[in-house]
Amino acid sequence: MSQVEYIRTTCSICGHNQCGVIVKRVNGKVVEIMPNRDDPMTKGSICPKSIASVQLLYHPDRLKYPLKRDGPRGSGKWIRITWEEALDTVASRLLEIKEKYGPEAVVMARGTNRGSWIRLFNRFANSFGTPNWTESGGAQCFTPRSIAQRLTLGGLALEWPDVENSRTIMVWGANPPATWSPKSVKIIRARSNGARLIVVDPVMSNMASKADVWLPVRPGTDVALALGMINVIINERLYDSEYIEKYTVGFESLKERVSEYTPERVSEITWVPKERIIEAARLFATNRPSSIVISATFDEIVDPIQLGRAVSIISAITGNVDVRGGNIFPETAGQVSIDTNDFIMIDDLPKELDSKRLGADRYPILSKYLKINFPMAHYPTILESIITGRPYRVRAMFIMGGNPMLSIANSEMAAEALSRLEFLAVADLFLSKTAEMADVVLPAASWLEYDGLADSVQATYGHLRIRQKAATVGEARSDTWIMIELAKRMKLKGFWSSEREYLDYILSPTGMTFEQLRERGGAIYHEPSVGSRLKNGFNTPSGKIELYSQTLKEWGYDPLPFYTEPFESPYSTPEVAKQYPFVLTTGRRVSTYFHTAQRNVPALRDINPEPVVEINSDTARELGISNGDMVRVETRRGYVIMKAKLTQGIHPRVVAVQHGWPDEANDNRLTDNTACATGIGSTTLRGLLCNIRREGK
Amino acid sequence: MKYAMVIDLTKCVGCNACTAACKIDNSTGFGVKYGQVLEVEAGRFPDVTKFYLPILCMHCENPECLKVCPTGATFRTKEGVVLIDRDRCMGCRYCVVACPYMARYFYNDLKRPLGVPRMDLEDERLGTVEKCDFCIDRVREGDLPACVKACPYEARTFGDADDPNSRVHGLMARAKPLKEDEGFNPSVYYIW
Amino acid sequence: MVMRMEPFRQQEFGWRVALDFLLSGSGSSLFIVYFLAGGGVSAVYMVGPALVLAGLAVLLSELGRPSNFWRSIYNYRASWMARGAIFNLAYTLIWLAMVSLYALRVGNYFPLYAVEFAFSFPVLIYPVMLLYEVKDIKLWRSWWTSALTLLYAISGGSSLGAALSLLYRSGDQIVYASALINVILIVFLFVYIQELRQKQRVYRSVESALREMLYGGGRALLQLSFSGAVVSLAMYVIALAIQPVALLAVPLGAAIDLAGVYSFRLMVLRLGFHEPLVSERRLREMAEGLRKRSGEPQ
Repeated sequence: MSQVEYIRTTCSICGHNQCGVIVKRVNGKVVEIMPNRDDPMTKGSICPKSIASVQLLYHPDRLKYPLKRDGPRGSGKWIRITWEEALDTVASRLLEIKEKYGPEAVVMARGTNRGSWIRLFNRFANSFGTPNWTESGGAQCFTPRSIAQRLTLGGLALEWPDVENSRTIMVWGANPPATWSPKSVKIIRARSNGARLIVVDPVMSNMASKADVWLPVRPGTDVALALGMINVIINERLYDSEYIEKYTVGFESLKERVSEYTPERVSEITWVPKERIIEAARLFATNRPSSIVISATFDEIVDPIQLGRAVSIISAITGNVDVRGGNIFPETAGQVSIDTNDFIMIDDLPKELDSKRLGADRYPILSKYLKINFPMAHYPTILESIITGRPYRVRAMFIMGGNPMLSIANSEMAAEALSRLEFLAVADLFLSKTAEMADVVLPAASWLEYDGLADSVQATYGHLRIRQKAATVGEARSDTWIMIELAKRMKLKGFWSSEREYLDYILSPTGMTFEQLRERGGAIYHEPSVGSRLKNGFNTPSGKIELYSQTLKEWGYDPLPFYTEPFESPYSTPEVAKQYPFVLTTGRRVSTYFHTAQRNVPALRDINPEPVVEINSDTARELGISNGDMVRVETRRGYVIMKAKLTQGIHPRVVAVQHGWPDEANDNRLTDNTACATGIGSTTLRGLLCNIRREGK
Repeated sequence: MKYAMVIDLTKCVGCNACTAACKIDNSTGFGVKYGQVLEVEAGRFPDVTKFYLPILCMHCENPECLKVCPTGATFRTKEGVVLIDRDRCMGCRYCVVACPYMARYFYNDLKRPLGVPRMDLEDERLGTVEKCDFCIDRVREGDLPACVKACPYEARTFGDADDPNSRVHGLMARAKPLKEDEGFNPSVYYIW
Repeated sequence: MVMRMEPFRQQEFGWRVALDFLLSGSGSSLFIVYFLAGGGVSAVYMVGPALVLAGLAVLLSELGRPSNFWRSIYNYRASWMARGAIFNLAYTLIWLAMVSLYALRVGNYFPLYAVEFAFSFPVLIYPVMLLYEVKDIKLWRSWWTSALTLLYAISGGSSLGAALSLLYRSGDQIVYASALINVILIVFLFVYIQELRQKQRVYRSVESALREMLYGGGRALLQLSFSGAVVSLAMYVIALAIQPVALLAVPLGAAIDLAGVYSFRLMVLRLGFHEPLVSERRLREMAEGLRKRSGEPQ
């Protein structure tokens, strides 16, 4: 008789969505993962990555025990070691380097959030004493847009569109069906119930296919589009004057600023038909409540802070912030919030180290401690430091859940830097390109293999749900466990003796332990206080929504949003455009892969077997490219070879490549990491110049 | 009794959760997709219409594949499901050629996962034709087909079309199958 | 506005099936030609069925599970694939009987010839019907494709017959027949293209097939099957006019003719386009409906 169990848990294959799922286990073996339609937060959302985690879990190539390199770096020779030896080696080597060269010589870098340890990792780094912690995402993901939102709205309202109650939904630079399943499910439900959908995307994406108004923006010019929409809203007096009067500051100066962004001019800049810009602006402003869904475009263009600000302003002047059906502020369910500077123990870091953080001089908004950010080192500057030794040399890195060899701009430089390190420890599920460079590799656990909490900021809107262990693979251990064990060995302050103790700490304000929460169904909910900011003031210096940002002015930046042409484009560098006439975005994502991961999961690979470049079919015909041909996409930095997909869903002068493929299809061979965004240091990943030609069948 | 499926195209966004669930549940080989999601595009930039069309075996009442099968390996059950008897199939692929919905796959060595490790693939399938079976084993146990269960958008509805109280029966009233004029009489319907 | 979905192509039947069609078609028609011409040499009677047997072997090698071949007879279904298997097998059994009698040099095997002659027709026809049975591929389900496929089979058989006849007896009338068949073939091929041009207005799959045939990858195969017929016709005319070179020209013409036959077979298989899943009219409807979102509210 087979024993069938159903385990209600939360997925974390992508880290941020944390969909509620049910894991079916037969005789102790996970056989199926299905959506949990009763989940209070995600309501049955799931994606292929989560479903195929069965194959990821039992993948024959999974790292099952710690490894030590045997032979020169990158030689591929490994010997199995015990966890004791592995942890001792990592702890002692990191401490040794800290001792010898100072704490800043050690970089802690993380990639994906394979659970809820993003901020725990910050805490680990701060407690260790290094100012240099960073993320592969870092300035390219979440950081710029969260700072922009905090500056403008005093909180992360754009992360929480209340789409279920919206009448108009504007999805900007995001493709939720591929990357934000919970939001996507709610958008489609709202749409079925009559909500109207505006999608801003250079490519006719999954989401754009359902749009009422599709704005195919030239990659990298989103700020102009946003300012153009504000212009329409203001000129046609579609704004909510009462709301503006009561809750915002700086409307008059904003009015003056956007007057230069007429729909005609914006249409020329963005290549979006003028009528559509006007149509979208009118729809958004009049068919209220309206919400905005955003994603990583807000971190990957030439000036991301401006985009985050401009789009926040669209929401604000139409009176959609902190109202039902608009954009509302995330709240915890009462547990210890991990998204605070207290939790990451930033104050434990000696003040003098703040200016030593790599990138602090050039990118202060990213790398200096400004109270409204989690200061982090600038990844390209770290690579530079390893290679050139300026301003000092980074000697060791500890990388958790990241694959910078593929995922950060300028892969060649990343490879060179990693090979020059004195010590590199990597925790991952597989022997990734980055893990291959390591001295010690720690086998990490997937989301099915540990107990935890779904408390990422994008999944905690009043909800807290648990994650439950459903399987064991070899000696793989959770990232949280690894950090706690390392902390023990390095005698770091502010850590716990076990994973369970950590979870109990997070839960302590709710008066429950993890075990008790599990027994009570594994989910708690705290009714969010929508409208409380309208009543009590926004979390900004003025207590209002800052259309005009005093803070930015104090930091020495323009207090009003403005448009910057990408550092290379047909207009800013016409001579480059002669040789590289097409505008490139590396922003294409498919639902089957999370960044560089999962290419080795058979079920997923079969759905998207090859890297794809999307080209307008008319352009392709002129260049002699047919569907399925291999195409070389070339920029000034390098080239990739990908399979052509011809479509009419893209501007004839725009080319879109997928992100995350290895080797000759690695899109980061095309990107640049020198011309980084002012203040925040984001590398431009959307809005580059490229050329394409047919490579063969 | 006649099992049927209705797919609401207004809800499908092409996320392929169904495809993944199907591939996991049936542990199909590389390139074998009992169910898949096609992208259909029409128009010219910037006035483009695009939608996603999930296809699978349509379980026709009047199946072409069954008509052409030389060995009787393909048969239709009382539940209205078209199945393949693997022991009878001789791998002539005539059914693959004849199927108007590209639902059938011939499983040979080439279909083994390329560049990725093999997982749970049964060799007894080698040299036979395979396709979607409406997850009939699951359905007989009272469960839903894997694709229906996986769809986060609830775009798929599955049930007994002959039962006037079933949801699927109600939806079928305004749903249409693909190639409906050809007389195949499929059991998979679409709403748009 | 462009509103169309491309038809999809069958991928399973390829060069090996074409080879089987070539061998069984020309083998059986060779037998027919010889029988009708009242040929005298017993050994030649054995060649045609031997080719059919070779075709059967090719077909078996194509099967995923050759061990289950017998089931197609045991579990006979009214399908042309099953009929083909039976005809081929029966044909082969009679041939075996013929060969044994011939080897033992006993009895009168003319009745066997007659039976084999009768069976030659279904063996000749079954590849045609196999294609015709596929309802969704409109190119295959056309009388013109069937007629041409059959004509090509006969042309291949008679060409072989002409070449073989040189070895044993004066085979002028077979060469005449081959030449005549090639003339008909060339005329038919012209008419065929015109016919397809008419049909493409109704069927998207035929339009795609025709486009492939005239401008795409199918073009070389069409040219080969056309020039095969023309060149072999020229060879036969030369052979008939200048008897001394017949020994060279006829086999050469036959070889070229067979190449043409094979090309045509391969072309027809390669152009096996199914109708698109969504017709143009339906696609318009769907795009309109999806824009209006007539889906079910939740």
